Amino acid sequence: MSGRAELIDWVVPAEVRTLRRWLPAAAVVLAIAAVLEGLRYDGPRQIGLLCGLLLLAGCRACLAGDRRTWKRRLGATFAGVGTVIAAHLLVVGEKSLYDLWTLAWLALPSVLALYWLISPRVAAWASGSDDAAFIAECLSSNRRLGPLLSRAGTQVLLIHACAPVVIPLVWIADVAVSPGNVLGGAIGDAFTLDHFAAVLSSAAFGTWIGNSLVVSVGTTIVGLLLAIPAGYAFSRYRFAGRRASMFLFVLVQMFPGIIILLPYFMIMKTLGLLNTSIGLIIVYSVTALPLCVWMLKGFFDSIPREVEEAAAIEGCTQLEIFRHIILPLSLPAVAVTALFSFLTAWNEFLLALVFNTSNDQYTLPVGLASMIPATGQQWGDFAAASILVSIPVVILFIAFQRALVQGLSAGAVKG
Amino acid sequence: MLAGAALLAPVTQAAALTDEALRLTTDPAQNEYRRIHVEVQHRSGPDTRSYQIWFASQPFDRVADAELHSTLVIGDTEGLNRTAPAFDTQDCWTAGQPVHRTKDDIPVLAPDILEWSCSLSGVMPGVDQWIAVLPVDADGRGLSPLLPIRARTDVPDQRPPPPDTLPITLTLASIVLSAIVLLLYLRRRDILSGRAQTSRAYLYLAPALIGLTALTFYPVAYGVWLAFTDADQSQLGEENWIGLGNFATVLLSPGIVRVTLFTLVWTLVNVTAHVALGLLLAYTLTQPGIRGRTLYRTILLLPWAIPGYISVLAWNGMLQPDGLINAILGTATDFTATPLAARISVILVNIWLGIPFMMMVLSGALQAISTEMFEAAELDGISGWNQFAYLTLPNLKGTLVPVSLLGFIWTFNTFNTIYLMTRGNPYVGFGEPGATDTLVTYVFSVAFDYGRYGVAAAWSVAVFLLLLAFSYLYVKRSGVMEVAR
Amino acid sequence: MSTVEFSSVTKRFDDGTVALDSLSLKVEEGEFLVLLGPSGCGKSTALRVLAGLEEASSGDILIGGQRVNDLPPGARDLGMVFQSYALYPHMSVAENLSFGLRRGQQRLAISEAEIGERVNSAVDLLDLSEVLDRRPRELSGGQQQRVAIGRALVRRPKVLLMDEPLSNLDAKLRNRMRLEIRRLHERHGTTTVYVTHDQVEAMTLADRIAVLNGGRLQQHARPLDAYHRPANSFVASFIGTPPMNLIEGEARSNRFHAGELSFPLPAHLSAHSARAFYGIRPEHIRRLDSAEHPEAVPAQVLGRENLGSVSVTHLDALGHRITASERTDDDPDASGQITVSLTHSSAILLEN
Repeated sequence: MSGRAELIDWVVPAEVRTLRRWLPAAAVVLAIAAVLEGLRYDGPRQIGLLCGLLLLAGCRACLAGDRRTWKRRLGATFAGVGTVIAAHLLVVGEKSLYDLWTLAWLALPSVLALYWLISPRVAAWASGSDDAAFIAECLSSNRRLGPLLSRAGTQVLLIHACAPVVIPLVWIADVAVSPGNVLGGAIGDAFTLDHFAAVLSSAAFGTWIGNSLVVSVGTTIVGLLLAIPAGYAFSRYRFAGRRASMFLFVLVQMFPGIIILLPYFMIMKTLGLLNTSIGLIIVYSVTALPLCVWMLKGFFDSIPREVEEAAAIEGCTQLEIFRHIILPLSLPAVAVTALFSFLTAWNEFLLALVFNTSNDQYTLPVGLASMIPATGQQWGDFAAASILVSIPVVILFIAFQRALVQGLSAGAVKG
Repeated sequence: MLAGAALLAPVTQAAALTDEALRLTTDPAQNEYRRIHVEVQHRSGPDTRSYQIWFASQPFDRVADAELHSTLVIGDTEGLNRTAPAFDTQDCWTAGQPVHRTKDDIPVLAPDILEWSCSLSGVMPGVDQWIAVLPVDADGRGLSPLLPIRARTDVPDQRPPPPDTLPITLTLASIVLSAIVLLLYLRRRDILSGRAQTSRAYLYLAPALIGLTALTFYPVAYGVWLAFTDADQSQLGEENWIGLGNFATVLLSPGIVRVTLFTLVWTLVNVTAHVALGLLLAYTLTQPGIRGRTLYRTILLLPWAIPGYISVLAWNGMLQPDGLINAILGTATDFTATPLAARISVILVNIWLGIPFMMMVLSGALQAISTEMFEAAELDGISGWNQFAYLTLPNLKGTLVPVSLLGFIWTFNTFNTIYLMTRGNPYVGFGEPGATDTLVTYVFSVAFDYGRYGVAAAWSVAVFLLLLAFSYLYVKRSGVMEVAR
Repeated sequence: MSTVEFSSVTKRFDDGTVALDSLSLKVEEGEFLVLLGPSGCGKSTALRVLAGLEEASSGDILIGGQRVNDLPPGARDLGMVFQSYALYPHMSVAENLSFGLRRGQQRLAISEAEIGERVNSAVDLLDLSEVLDRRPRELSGGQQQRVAIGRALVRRPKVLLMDEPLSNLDAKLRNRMRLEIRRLHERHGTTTVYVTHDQVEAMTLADRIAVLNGGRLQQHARPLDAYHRPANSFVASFIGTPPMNLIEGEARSNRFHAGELSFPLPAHLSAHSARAFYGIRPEHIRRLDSAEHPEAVPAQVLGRENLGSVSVTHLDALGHRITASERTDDDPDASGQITVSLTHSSAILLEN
């Protein structure tokens, strides 16, 4: 080793790396916030945020390229001005949660940048030092600080990713327990279970659930009866036309729903199957069929042939093998496939909307959607009904997510 | 019309009875489903300005106990047409012809009419009804006693005869038969080539394959055929071949370029965002040493786990002027009012819905990449962004390409989000796609709002071809075949 | 080329497992050191800590005399061959070899020509010219192995690290690659740390062996020293096939007593007097013709495994299970009661 000088490339302080990564992100957030200020007609704030955006971008620019002390000083100045603007907006501006959040995206990066850019370590780095003591000190602090900062960054990212999921959930729960069928009102300002009572006691909701149950269970049974033998055939036999039929099953997935919708409607109308559960069951089991077959084929593939061969040697017939060996072994897989067909039928909207136009044949999706017409929107009842409908589905989904995703991606990606 | 009773002055029995007796009869033979046929013989006096028909479910002797069904005006029929009523309330005839009607659809009898008949609609079937006809003067006073007669209709609902199911049944049967024949042929070929054990495979496969052919390929073919016919709501099963007329209609429709462009923007923006954000989250979640990884993963999965229509309806509520988003911002914007805002809203909602699927599929693919490869890179001094760009991405290509193609097709075909958010609104022009209509939602409204089945089928075929063309281009450009090798 | 030194290195994982317990070990410049031990003994952890893929909980790692604990892996200037080879699956062999150099071109300050030259020399050295344009999955296991070594060598690293590089190969290929690795080391002379659980690899490749067990260093010695003079019973039973016989008992007045079993100690051990393990290699057990011999120990033959040129005989000597290794041509009795001598000049006594 020719000395520590060659290590200088490795000693970008973790603080600088963090700023390089996060200042652009902060600028993007501020840009979005500035656009939204346009909706609020808050001119001064918008200008403040835009200035902040420019300052952070400028500060980032100072950290690029070669190391110069004047760049560091300029960057620190930008960050300082950004801090002042943030402080000013905090004092004079509104202080709703949203305002505080946007301000945080200006204040935190500015303060951190300022603090770090005037720290001795970054100063030494920016001055182009290749002093051995500095390098050793910097390396050791990077080892401590680097993982810490990147973990913190990951948390910030994940929290921001989760917020758009969690906030709507909290809101819908609040609407469900707020009196009246309105949207507004602060979170948690009043509490009532009226909406749940109304939904649970309404005859229509019961009818919808009944219809959905009949259709979904029917779909699951019919779909499995068709899919299990087909999946088994694809997995275990090499027969003429196997590849062609497998391709056929993939091709069907690619058909746009719209090209099939109208003919389905006309056929069902001709056969008098509109406004019946049977029509939906037939259509659902066939549309979910290809993916089910692919999922089951994948699962059957994972059962070693030797098990079957052992049973065959013991004198089992083909049917006995299937009944006593394959089916018990693949029961979890069959359960996942069944869940998949069930959920597909349970959540399907378009076909149900077109096929079942009479109120007493609505399935849940169409029924719930009918609670939100252009006028007379029953948001409270809708929110309560949504929660009641979603909770079991979500629990099932989360519990089986790994298997579902595996089966789905096997079906989808291989296809 | 029933509400009209309130506008009339109360009928008093004290009014002078100037006219000769009114003869009211009912003819059960001419009753229809929920309709009672009544015939009236009466010479109207000079004061008689109109006839009122009253009915109730029990005998009555004052109009206060009954409901007004219809009013026929006596007057000059000069310049009026004998037309069927626009609203399905009453059909009245004189001398076997429909009565004259004003522009407001009020039936008018010439003063010299002695006999007329009406078919009164909206009557409960199978229940006795009491009906009376009352001549009234200009002040709305009755000119003869109320003498209700009893009448009822027991005619069952006469649905239109079911359409002829024979052609469809025949077609389906022949498809099933030919599928069976094909399978039998393949089986025979297999046996001849010495693969005897496989014969069972055809038995196992048959139900699924037949179901698929009969209920997927046949409808597609039927849809293509419809595209060349003049099928619409009023003529089902009697459509005629009209060649390429529907396609001409499609190409000449106003807004075709706009809706196609928006569909492309919709699809590309959505898929790009799904893949990019899904990859970002999947990559972040697969990094080592994240506190609360399971919790984050579960939360981020929720948009996929919650039924899609519920999420979209909830977002619809959140974007209302009094909804959550406005509450957070402290504004009262209607996000679905202007075309641009509505478009951005539906796209953002759909992005929200689609990320978890990509995230899960891609984190599966990420976990399948060997970690030792990254350690080797680490030792070579390659870290962070370079690892991602030169190692992660190329190794994900085998997953990214087919998944984004799938995403493209799914997003292109997305219906729920737009239908439940905006129904294609804001309105742009009559018969034109709305500002947020994509091809799919527009085809839906052509078919089921306007009832133009033939044109909608032509749209579907065009959309399918467009999708096929894009998929083909994508597959060719991205070299998915090479990846699949 | 550099020395490598572990100085009281301890590695404690988050779940509390101690993978390395105060390991101190020095590898000389140009030396081929084999870290040997059963799975879970910490040998791979030691290698990963040296590479910087894991962080030491305490203690120092020195390369070329300088502390490298704080250096990220890329700055330590090491080459590593992974057990699964960890080749970049989407790159051709040529790209695999040059990728690290090309991405670090600026930092390493090497020219395009230099990269080409280094890749070429690795290709020649490892005989890869036929497969330069192929992807890793189109290569045989041996070829992948050579590409992995080549990728580690083109960096001209100060130290070459190998983590069980031969364990994914079949037996025949493994023998050939073993020779090749040794030949490479003789040509290059790069300081090498090699991790394996296979004592044959350790014996044939190493300049010195470091035997690890439970995260602790058991013995650090030349291969033959470790074989003949194991530092403790663990090393004794781990090295050698079949392993050394260890009889627990007591050395007292020139004899070794273990229950009913008693036999004279060899001359070099006769001075000892303590409770101990008596260790004797199977090939050092001799048959005696006469039960009257002073060294005679009666033994019952339990079974015999013929391995070709040698045979392994399993014996029961008055309650002690013993294995003896004999030349097959001698064709002695395969069963019954025999007499053996356990007294041999290579035998050792190990404290217990």
